[in-house]
Amino acid sequence: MSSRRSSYINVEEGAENMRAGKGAGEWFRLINYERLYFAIQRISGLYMFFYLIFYRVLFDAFVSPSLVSSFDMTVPGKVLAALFLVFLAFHGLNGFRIMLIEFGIIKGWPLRHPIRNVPGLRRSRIHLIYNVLMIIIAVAALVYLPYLVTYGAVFRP
Amino acid sequence: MPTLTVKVKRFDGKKSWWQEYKVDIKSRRISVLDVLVKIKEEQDPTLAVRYSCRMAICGSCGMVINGVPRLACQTLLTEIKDDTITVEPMWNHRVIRDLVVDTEPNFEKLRKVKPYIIRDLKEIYESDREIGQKPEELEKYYNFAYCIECGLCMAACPVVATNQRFLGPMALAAAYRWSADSRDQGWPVRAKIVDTDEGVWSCHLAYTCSAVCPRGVDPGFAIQLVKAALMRRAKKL
Amino acid sequence: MSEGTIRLIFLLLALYVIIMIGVVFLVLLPMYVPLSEVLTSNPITVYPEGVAEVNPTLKFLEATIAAAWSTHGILGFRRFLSDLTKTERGMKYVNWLTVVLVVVIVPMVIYAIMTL
Repeated sequence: MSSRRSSYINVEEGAENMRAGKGAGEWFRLINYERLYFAIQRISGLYMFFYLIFYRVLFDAFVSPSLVSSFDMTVPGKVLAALFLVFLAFHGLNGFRIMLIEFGIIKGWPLRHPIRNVPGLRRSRIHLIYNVLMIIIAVAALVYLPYLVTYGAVFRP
Repeated sequence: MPTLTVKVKRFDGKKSWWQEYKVDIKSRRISVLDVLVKIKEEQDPTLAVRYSCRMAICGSCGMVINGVPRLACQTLLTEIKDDTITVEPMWNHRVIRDLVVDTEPNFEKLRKVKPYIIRDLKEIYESDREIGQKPEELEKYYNFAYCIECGLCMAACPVVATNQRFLGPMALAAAYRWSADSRDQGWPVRAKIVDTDEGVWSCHLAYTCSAVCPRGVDPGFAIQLVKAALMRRAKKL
Repeated sequence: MSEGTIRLIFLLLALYVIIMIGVVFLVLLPMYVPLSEVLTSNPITVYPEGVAEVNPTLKFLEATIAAAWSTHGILGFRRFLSDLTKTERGMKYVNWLTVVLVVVIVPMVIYAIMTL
């Protein structure tokens, strides 16, 4: 709703007890790259949970395996499968990075500086190397896994 | 003389709106706080801004400047390349008015982790022994003692946005600082407080708290150090 | 059970899945089919049906991976729900939901793999 006095003032009514920020929308605000990883980890985890457990395993085993097989051959089926694999690659790589940090294997120490402070993780060489490897492997997975889903042979041993 | 456009998110208790001010400045070597005070003095005395020391030591002037939580006194216009400054109150906090937010929940969470030396009082009162601290023992927690409790980390944290039970980076970094102090014997007590869903385990390593901390405290790293200590069932930090 | 223990189990399950998927694709399957065939086939058709066709006894290993994967997923879903829960009471419901999901889904997933 615009104010009658000025077009640049957009007034939000009924904002009593206003809490600044976007609530769940904050998960997707991008300020630093680890936050981007967190957002993708969350989305990929939720997608894989529903795709793998409910569609891939339970629907396949208990409802209609033939329907699942035929859907997998269609374009939407392949897109969902490719998305699952790409998300799996990223989720696994980032999850391993989280494990290394939470077990205290990746070490660094923060640098306090009058102008440019450096957080501990940014000073850890292992973390930096792992990040680079992670991005390379994730990009490779982003290209190779959808290619395999689209053009890969059906596995018949 | 450059003219700045300052867009401020206002709130008067009932409605919220964006208000624009045009400010003439003589130099870019001033802070955003100087610009806001100039607006208050010359254009709109109703603009509510919290500030005190104007030298990044009190932590009062935390706000979101051009999409990043910062201290207004520490953010110079030379860092903001644009002539348009967008200022809004700290995220994840209840807004009292304009740029002033309710920071009391932050301090309630801080008090929960017992931010003081916990030690056997009998030993202190009945012996003359001096409790010294070596430089390497000081180095273990010194960086995390620089916290000025400005709340920017709490504004930046995506988990605090939805999970109000989460203690947050400010309190958890304080838990590490006090537990890692060699004079303290309170780690078993604090471990029980932080080894919960509301404690360190809700941290998802977004690390924005450390990215925005104006004092280089790195609260995100402090949380990971606490997690590693809990995983290893450490008797002492 | 403390939250730290739950987190440790969560991470160890993930580590188990990551390692075992790698072992299945790069070590076990190449014992029966050429590695090039494994790496150029559609992964969705390789695992789990393809592995079960190659050697039915590998279904037991697949079942453990499936159990670990689904438990990890359920605990991860619990983490997601806990970020949205505002009260302690809400957290109790989330914990009960987690227990129900583990008790229902994990046996179903194991059964689904074993009957491939």
